[in-house]
Amino acid sequence: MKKCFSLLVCCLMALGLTLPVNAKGIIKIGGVGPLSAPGSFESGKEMKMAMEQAIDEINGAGGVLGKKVALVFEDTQGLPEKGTAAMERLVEKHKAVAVVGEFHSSVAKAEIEVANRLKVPLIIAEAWADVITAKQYKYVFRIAPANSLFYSKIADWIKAAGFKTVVMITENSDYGIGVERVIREQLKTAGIKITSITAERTIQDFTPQLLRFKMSKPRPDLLFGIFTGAGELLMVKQAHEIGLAPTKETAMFAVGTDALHKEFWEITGQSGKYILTKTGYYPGIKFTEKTEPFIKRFKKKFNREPTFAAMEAYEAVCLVADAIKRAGSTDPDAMVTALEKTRFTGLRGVIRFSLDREPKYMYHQWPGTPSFVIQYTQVDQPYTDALLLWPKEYSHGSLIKP
Amino acid sequence: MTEYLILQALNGLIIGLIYALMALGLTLIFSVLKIVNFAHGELYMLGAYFSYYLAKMFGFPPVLAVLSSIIIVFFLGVVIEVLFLRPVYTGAVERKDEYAILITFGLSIFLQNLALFVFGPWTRRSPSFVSGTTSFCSLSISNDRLVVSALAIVFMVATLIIIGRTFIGKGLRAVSQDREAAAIAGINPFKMNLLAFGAGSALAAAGGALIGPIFLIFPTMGAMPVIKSFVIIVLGGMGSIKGCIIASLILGEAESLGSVLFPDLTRGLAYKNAIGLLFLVVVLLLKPTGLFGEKHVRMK
Amino acid sequence: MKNLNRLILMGLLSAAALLPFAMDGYWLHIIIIAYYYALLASSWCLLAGYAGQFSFAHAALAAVGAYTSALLVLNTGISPVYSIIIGSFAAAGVGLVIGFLCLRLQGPYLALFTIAYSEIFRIVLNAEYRYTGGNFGLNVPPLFARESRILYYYTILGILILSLVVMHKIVTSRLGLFFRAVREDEDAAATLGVNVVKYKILAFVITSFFAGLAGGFYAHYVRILTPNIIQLPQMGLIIAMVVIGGIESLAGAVAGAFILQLAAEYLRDYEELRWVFFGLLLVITLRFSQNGLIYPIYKRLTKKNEKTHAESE
Repeated sequence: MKKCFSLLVCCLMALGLTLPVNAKGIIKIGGVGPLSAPGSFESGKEMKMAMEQAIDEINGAGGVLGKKVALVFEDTQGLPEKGTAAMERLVEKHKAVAVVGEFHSSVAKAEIEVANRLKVPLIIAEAWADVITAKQYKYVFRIAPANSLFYSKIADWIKAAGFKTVVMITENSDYGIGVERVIREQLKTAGIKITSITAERTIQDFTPQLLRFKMSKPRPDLLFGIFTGAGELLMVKQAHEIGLAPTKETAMFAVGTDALHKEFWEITGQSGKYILTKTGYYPGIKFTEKTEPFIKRFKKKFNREPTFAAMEAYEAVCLVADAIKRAGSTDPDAMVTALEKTRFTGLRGVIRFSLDREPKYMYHQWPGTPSFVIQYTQVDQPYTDALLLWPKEYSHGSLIKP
Repeated sequence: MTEYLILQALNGLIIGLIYALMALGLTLIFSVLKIVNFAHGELYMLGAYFSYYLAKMFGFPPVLAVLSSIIIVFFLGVVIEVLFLRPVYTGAVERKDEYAILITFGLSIFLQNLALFVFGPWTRRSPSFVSGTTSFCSLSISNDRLVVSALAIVFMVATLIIIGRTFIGKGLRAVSQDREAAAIAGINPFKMNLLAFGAGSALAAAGGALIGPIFLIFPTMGAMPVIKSFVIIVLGGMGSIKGCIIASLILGEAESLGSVLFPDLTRGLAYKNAIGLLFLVVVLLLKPTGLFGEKHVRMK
Repeated sequence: MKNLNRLILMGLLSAAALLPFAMDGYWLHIIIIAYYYALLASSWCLLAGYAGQFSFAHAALAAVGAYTSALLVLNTGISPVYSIIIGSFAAAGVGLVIGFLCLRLQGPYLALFTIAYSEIFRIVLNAEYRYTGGNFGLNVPPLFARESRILYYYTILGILILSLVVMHKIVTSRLGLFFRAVREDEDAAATLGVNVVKYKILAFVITSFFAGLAGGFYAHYVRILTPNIIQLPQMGLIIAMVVIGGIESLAGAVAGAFILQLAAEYLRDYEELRWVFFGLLLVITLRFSQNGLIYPIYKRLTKKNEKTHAESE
C-alpha cells in the first residue's frame, strides 16, 4: 500500500516536470477570466470561446508579423488574488505580450496594478467599474463600458419611462455595488423614490423581501434586480410566482448578463416574459460588416447566441493583433502608442480609445460602447428578437405591461 | 400589518418544511452513526443532478426520475459507508470523531469538484412537478413549493413511522442508544449503519431532486443547504428527528420574519444567512444538547 | 538518525536561503505563497494534531489578522510592521474568546461552532462593504515601499522559520506534553492535575496568533483582500495540506503545504480536475495512511539508510 503512495507522489512530480512547453516563433496573447466558482464561470467560458475563435481567424489569415498567435488563458475564479497571480504567470512565465479579458471588476482592479507594474498592455473586455480606467494607467485599456457611461443611459430610460417608485435588490459584490451606486445617484437627482437592499450572492430565497415590496404602499412600479448567476434567475422566478413583477403595477428589470443566455428560459420559463434587461449589442441595428459573419461562425461553432461579453472578448484579441501589426513589434510601449491610435472596425462600431483625462474614467476607454434596453415579449425568445426600447432613436416600441 | 406578517409566516412555514427535508437525512445519520456528514450537501446535489439528467436525457417522468435518483444515491451512500466510515467502528482509526469529520469533508471537496468537471458549471432546472401558482388571499405560492412541502411532510411522517413503529426502526434506535448492548441483543450494528447512512443519503437526494425546480441545480448548490442543516440539527438536538422537524420550522420562520423585521432594512437580506448561524452559536454555548437532544452525544 | 535529520534540515535551510538567486519572479511568488500556507498549515497542525482541537476557524483567524492590519494602516496610517503585529494579537484575542467559548465543545460540536463563526465573519465582511471593501476588494498598502519580491521572500521565510522554532519548542516542552494529554483524554488529564481549561485556551491563543501573523503578511504582500479568503474551500486546502503532510508533524505540515501548492501550480492546465484529485488524495490518505504521505516515505528512506549504515559497519 505504501509503495502505491510513493508512486503516486512520484507520478505527480513527474507530471509537473513535463508540462511547460515553450514554443518559439509564436506570439502569445494572455487571456483572463473566471472559469470556476465563485466566479461567473458561465460568462468566462463564453469569453474564452470567443477569444479562441479570434485566434483561429487571425492565424487563418496568416498570423501577425509572419508569426502564429496563441492564446494562453488563465482562470481567475472571480478572486482578485487569483487575478494578480494569473497576470504574473501570463507575463513572467508564459511571456505573453499582452493580456485581454476579465469579467469581474474586483479582479480587474487587481490586474491593472500588475499590468502597470510589469508594463504589459491589458485590454479589459468586460469589467465595468469606473475605477479601472479612472486610475489612468498607461498600459490599461477598456472596450467594455464604464459603469457611469453605461448605466447613466439606463437611468435615463428609467426617468424617461416615468417610473416614480423604484426598488433595487443588489448583490453585495463588486459588480452589484458599482451599478447600484450609479443608478441610485442618477435617480435621486430626478426625484425618484428609491429603496435599495443588498444581499449575499448565494441567497436563494428572495420571497420575504419581494412580499414586502408587494405589500408596501405605494407599490413600487419598477423592481430593479442587480444580480448575476443563479441569484438573478431565482429573483425573476420568485417575483413572478408571488405576483409582484412583471405585472400591471410593477415592471421588472434584470440587469445581469445571465438574462441574455439561452439557459435563462430553461430556468425562468413563463416568469421570463416581459422581463426587461440590458445589452451592449442588438442585431436589429447593423453595426459593421463584421457583425453578421461573426455571429454566424460563433453560432455554428458553439451552438449558442453570442452575448456582448463574447463580442468584447473577440474584439479585444483582434485589437491586440491589430496593434502589433501597426507597431511592427511586440514592444509594450510601441503597442501602447499603436493602441492609442486605434481605429478598428469591431463588431459593434469603430473602436477607438479616448485620451481625455476628464471625466477620469474616460482615459483609454472606448466611449462608443452601445447600450440598449430590451424587453422580452415571448417565452423562449432569443434576446436578439426582444423588443428594443431604448435608446430612443432606435426604439421599436414602448414598455409592455402584462 | 397583521395580514402582512401572516403572509410572511406562511412563506416561512413552507421554507421551513423544505429545510426539514434537507436536514432529516443528516439527523438520521447522526442518530445512528454519531457522525456529522459534511458531504451531505454533495449527496443532495447529486440527487438533484441524477434526477435532472434522468428526466432530460432518458425522458423519465418527473416522479420516476426522482425515485430512481433516490435509489441511486442510496447505494452511493452504502458504498461510502463501507469504504470510508466502516473503520470508525472496527477500531481501525484512533480519533474517530475527527476522522469522520475530515473524511466526509474530503469527500465533499472531491464530489463537488467532480460534479463541476462532469456536469459543467451551467445552472440547470428540473421540470416542474405541477407548474403554475396557487393563490391564498393576496399570497400566491408556486405549485412546486406546495408539492415539495407536502412531500416533505410525507417523508417526515414516513421516517417517524419507520423509526418508531417498525422492526428495522427498533434496530436503528437500539444501535443509536447503545451499540454494544444492541450487538448483544442480536442486532448487527454494521447492518444498521449501512441502512442508516444509505437512508440518510437517500433523504438528501430526495431533498435535492425535489428542490431542483425551486432553487435550481449547480455544482455548489449543496453548500448553503448543508449549513442550514447543521443549524437545524444543532438547534433541534443532534440526532433527534422530532427536534429536527421543529427546528426546521423555527429556522424557516426566523429567516422569513427576521430578514424583513431586521432593524436596518437595507441590509436585512445581506444578513439573512447569518440568522441561522447565530442560532447555532448561541445554542451550542447555552444548551449544547439543543431543544430535544437527550444528552451530549459523543462517540466512545 | 539525529545527524541525518540535522543534515537534511541544514540542506533545506541553505536551499531556501539561496532560492531567490535561482528562480524567476513568478516562481518566487509561488514559493512565497507556499510559505504563507506553510505557516497556516503548521499552526493548524499544532492546534488540531497536537492539541486535538479540530477548528475550522483557522482561515477566518488569518482574515482577522489580515483585515485588522489592513484597516489599521488605511485608517491610522501606522507602519504595516506594527499593524501586522497588532493584527496577530487581535487574532490571538479572537482565538482566546473562541477557545473559552468552546471549552465544553468537542468533535463535531467544535467543528460546527467554528464553521458558524467563520461564516458569520465572512457575511459581516461582505455586508459592511462600506468599511471593509467587501467583495470589491480592499486595496492594502504594501509592506515595503520598494518594489522587491526578494525582500518579501526573506521576510516571510524569516517569519516562518521563527514561528516554526517557537512551535517546535512548544511541542517538545512540557506544554506540548500537556496539549497531548488534553487531546488523548481530557478527564484523565484533569484527574492527573493538568489544568485542562488553561491548556485548551492556550492552544487556541498561540495558534491563532500565528494564523493572524500569516494573514497580516499576506494582506500586505498580495495587497488586495476579499472575504473569499475565509471560504470553506480555503480551510479545506489547509486541512488537506496538514493531513497529507502528517497530522502530528510540524515538518510534515510544511512539506504538505509545499507539495500541494507546487502541485496546484504544475497541474494548472487541469483546472477543476486538480481539486478532484486533491480531494481524492485527502480521502485516501485519511483512510489508508493516517500518518500522512510524507512521514511514512521519509521513514522508509531513513530506515533503508540505517540498514545500509549498519551493514557497512
